[in-house]
Amino acid sequence: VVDDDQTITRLLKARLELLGLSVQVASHGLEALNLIRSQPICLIISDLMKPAISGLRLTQAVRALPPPKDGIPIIIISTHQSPREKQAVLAAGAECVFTKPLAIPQLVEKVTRLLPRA
Amino acid sequence: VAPFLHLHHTHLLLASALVMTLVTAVAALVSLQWQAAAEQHNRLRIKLFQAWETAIPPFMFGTTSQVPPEILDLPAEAEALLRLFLQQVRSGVQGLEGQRIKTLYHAAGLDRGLAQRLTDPSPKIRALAAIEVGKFHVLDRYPQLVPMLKDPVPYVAHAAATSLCHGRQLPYASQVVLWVLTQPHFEQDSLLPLLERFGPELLYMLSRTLRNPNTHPREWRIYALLAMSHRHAKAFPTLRALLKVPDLELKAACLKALATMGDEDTYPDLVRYARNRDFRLRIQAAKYLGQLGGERAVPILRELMEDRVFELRRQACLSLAELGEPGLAVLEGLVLDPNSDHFARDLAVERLQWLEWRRRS
Repeated sequence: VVDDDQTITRLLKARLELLGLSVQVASHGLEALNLIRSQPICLIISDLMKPAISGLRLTQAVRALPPPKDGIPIIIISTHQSPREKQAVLAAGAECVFTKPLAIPQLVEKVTRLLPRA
Repeated sequence: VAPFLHLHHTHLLLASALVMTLVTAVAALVSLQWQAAAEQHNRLRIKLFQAWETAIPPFMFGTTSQVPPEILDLPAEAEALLRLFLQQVRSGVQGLEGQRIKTLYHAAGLDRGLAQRLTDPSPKIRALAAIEVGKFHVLDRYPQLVPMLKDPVPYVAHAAATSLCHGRQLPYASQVVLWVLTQPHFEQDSLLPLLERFGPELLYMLSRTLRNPNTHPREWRIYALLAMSHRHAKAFPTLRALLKVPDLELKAACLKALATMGDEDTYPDLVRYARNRDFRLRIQAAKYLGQLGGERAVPILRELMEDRVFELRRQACLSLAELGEPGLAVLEGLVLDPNSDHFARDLAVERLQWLEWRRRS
């Protein structure tokens, strides 16, 4: 889970851990990229606007990684999202975009749907 | 006298140096104390936030129905921090989880003193309290937000309006609309998403309460733009009737709304406005002909490509490109025709090149 809002990150972590998942958190894109490169990550949930690397750049960077890491599903969460931003991030290879305030059950459903594929 | 004066000046210098040193020392001490207090507060905030981040999720995600004891009977300082924490969480989640956060807010008695905070002399406290009302849906405090729309501090009024919109307080919607109308013109459009929160019900209410469009066109401009946001097709007759009002901005807003919602009956109006004396109306018409016109709009847009107003030619060019194949054929014709108006040709070249670049990238 990549977000500079630590409260939301920790709450999401807590919710995903209830599913029995092991969750890593990063506060910015660079930290996330290092984690992705060094550890087996099955799914990324990333905020769109965050310091260092935006959600869009992170998606592009992950898709440019050598296989199999280039296929890690990415869910983007965003506060103020314009249709253009949404299109750009989906075109870059993100699976879907959720807008804050988050509908947690839908997010959890999406995570469980994407995980077996990963 | 001279030695005395000399002595006097020396004393004066010494005294002022002493005063300066004392002032600097006191300022440094106060600053240090302030820093220490801020650091202590920050440490407390981190400690409490971390504790709540662990304590609250089981209740928030429904694994227990018991309110975490960590949020009960808190000292005043921690209470303010919990209020901030819950507001932050509430901004991030909706649905059942959001409802449970509201439950925690009320269980911890955080609405205590809210009425006083809404009238606090500090604008920051007033604004935070106004946001709190909307975030935690404190029903009995909504009426107190209405006079705050006239608060002399703009961000306090904005916070009150935001909460009334988020709480979908329709009885106060007309006051919020009036507040929006008091804002600078360029800000009114950016406040529309806020008004959209009231839902399409606001349109029914506005159509009954707004004043005469001939004397108050700005009020109806908001109506037209909101009708567009909600894709409210039932507003078509009203919007068509509003096109007859002479106010230019209202006309532009109605044209925008009708064209964006795809009202085919607007086409003759668009053609009429494309030949209007006022170039601003011609620009608007050219813009929406590109959205609504289809192939039938090609001749008039071609005509507008040679209008005396450059901005209008540009808009006509963009609209032709937007029409797809028939419009692009006209632009290609302009490029190939050596006798065509050179401004129109340059615009066509630029647009076609841009489209080609976009196709390739």
